[in-house]
Amino acid sequence: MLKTEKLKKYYEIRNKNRGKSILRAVDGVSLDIARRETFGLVGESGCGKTTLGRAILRLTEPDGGSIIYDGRDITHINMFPYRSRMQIIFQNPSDCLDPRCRVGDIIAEGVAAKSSKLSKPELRDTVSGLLESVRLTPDYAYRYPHELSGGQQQRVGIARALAVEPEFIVCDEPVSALDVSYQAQIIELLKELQERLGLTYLFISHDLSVVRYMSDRIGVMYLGKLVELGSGEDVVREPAHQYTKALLDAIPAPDPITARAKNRTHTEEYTELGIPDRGCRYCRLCEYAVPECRDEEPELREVSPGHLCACHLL
Amino acid sequence: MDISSDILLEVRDLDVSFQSRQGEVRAVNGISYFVRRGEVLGLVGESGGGKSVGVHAVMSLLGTSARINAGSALFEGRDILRLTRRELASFRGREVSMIFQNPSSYLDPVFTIGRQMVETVRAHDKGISKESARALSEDMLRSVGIRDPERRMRQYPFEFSGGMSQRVMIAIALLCKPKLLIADEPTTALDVTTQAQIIQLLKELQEQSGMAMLYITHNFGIVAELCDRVSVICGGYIVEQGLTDDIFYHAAHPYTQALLKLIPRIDSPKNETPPSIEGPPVESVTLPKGCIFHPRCPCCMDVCRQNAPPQTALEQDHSASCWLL
Repeated sequence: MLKTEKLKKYYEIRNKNRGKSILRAVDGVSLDIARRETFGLVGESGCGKTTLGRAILRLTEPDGGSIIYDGRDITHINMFPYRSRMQIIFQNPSDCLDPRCRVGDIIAEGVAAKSSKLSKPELRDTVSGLLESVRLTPDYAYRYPHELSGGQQQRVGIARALAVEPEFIVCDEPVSALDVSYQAQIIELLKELQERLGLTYLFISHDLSVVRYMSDRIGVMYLGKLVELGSGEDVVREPAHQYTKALLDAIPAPDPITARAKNRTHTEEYTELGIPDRGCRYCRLCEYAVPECRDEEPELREVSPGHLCACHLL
Repeated sequence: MDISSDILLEVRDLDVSFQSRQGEVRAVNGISYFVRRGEVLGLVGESGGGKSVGVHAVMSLLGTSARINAGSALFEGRDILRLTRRELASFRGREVSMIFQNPSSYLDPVFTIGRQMVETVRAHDKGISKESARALSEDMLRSVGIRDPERRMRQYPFEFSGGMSQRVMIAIALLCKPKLLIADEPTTALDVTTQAQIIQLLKELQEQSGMAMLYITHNFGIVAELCDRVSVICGGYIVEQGLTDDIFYHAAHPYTQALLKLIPRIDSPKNETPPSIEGPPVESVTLPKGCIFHPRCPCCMDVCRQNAPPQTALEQDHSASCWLL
C-alpha cells in the first residue's frame, strides 16, 4: 500500500565555528507497508523516525528517493487529494489542538472538509459518532481542550484524524507523553479502530515494548538508517543487529529478580557522536566491530525469510 | 542500633490541598512514609496521584495556592516543614537535594554550567576559593560520566542533550554531598537507552556514597532496578508499602495489582494487549467516599463504598489498606 524507496531528508546546519554542515536525518530508507498492517518504527530521539513519518506524508519535503502510495508516486504531486486518505496523530495532543476551539469544532472541521454538503444536525451527529468511536461521550463536543486530561486529549486527536475517513495513519509517539494507565487504553483503542475501519498504521515510538504490542512488523532506525527490519517476533525474540540488542537491553525489566541479574556497563553517553562519514553508523558502540565495519557501510540483507539486518557480521 | 535513629526522613500524616476555582483540591490526604539511611524508596502511582506533591511539600517547594493542613516531616529528628527561610536555604542542597523531570528548565540558560556549579558550591561553603570550587565541580562532572569537564564547564545548557543535562543536574545536586537525594521522575523525558544509563549512574553513585534516595516514578521497571522499598500512592493515599520483592511478587492491594498488570512487557506472548484499569484516575476535587480506589476496583464490596479501609500489616515492612485483607 505504501512504499518508500531510498527516501532522504537532509538538513543544513549552520555552526558558528565550523561553517555549514549537513545533517542526514533520513538517509535512504526503503520500506513497504501492506494494507491493514501496522508497521512499527523504533529508535532513539534524533534518529530520524519522526522526520521519516513526516516526509512520508510530505509534511516536510523529502530531498531524495520516492514515496509510492497505492501504486502511485506521490513524491512530487499535489498532496491535496491524498490529505484525507493519509492522516497523522501527534505525540503531544495538547500542542496540536487549538486551545480556543471546542472539541466539537475541531472535529467538525475535518468532517466538513470531507463532505461539505452536510446540514448542521448531520454534522453534529457525525461528530457525536466520532467521539463515541474513541469512547468519549457526545457532550465532550462542548468542552475546550484544556478541560481534558492527556488521555482524553489524545482521543480527540484520534477522532480528528478519523474525521476525514483516512486509510493510512502515521501515529507519531501517540502514547509516549501519557501515563501508563492511559497508554494501555489508547493502544487498545487504536487496535480496535484498526480492526473495525481497516486502517493501516505507521506506528512510531522509542519504546520497543509499546511498538511490540501494536506492530505486525518492526523497523529499527539508527542515525537515519534502517538497521533491522522484520516481524515483531523476529526483531524482539531474535534480534540480529547489535543496536537492536542494546535497545532491548535498555528496557527496565519490571521484575526485581531479572533486574538484579542484569549487569550494565554502558554509563557513558554516545548520542553526541554524530554520524560518521563512512562505515557502519553503529561501529563505535558495537563491541564486535571489525575493521571492515569502519570502512564500508553495510546494506540491509536477509538473515531469515522476511527478516533483514544491516550488519557485516551476519 | 536503635531502629528510630536508622530513619533519615519520616513524613507523618501529611495533608496538602490546593485552592482552585472548582473548589478545594485534596491532593495528598494524610500520607506517611519514611526513608532509612542509605536506602532507595520508590514512590509509585499514576500522574495526579499526589506523588510529586507529597514530596515537594517536604522540600517546601509548593506554590502559594497550596496549603499544608496537617502533618510533619522529620529529618534526623527535626521538623523541616517548620524551618525558617534562612534555615531552609542551608538545608536544601546540603542535607537533601533534588533532581527533576525536565533538567533543561532548571538550568539557567544565560550562565555557563561551570558558573552555576561554582555558585552552588560557594553558596553552601562561603570559605571555599573559586579555584577549589571549580576543581570540585570538575571532579563531580567526571564522576557523572561527562568527558572533558574543563571544556564542558565553559558551555551553556543548550549545548547539552537531554541525557547530558540530566547528568549535570545530578552533578549539581550531589555537589554538597547530601544525605538524601530526591529524584522526581528524572528519566521520564528521556529515551530508553539514555534512561538505562542514567539509572545505572544513579545506582552507582548511590552505592558509592551511601546516600539515601527517594525516587518518584510511574515506571515499575525502574522500581525493580533501583528501589529497596516501594510506596504505592493513589488519589493522595498510600495504599500499599513494602519491600520491592513483596510489592512485585505478593502485591496485596488491587490498585498495585492493576498497576503491575499495566506494564507493557517485552517478554509477553505475541499480540496480547495489556489490560487497562477501567475508568479515569480519581478526580481530586470530588474524592469518592470510602476507599479511594473503589470506583475502579474489580473486587469492590459494599463496605468499600462506605468506609475507608484501615492499614493492615502483612509482614515486616509490608502493609496495605484494603478491606479484603
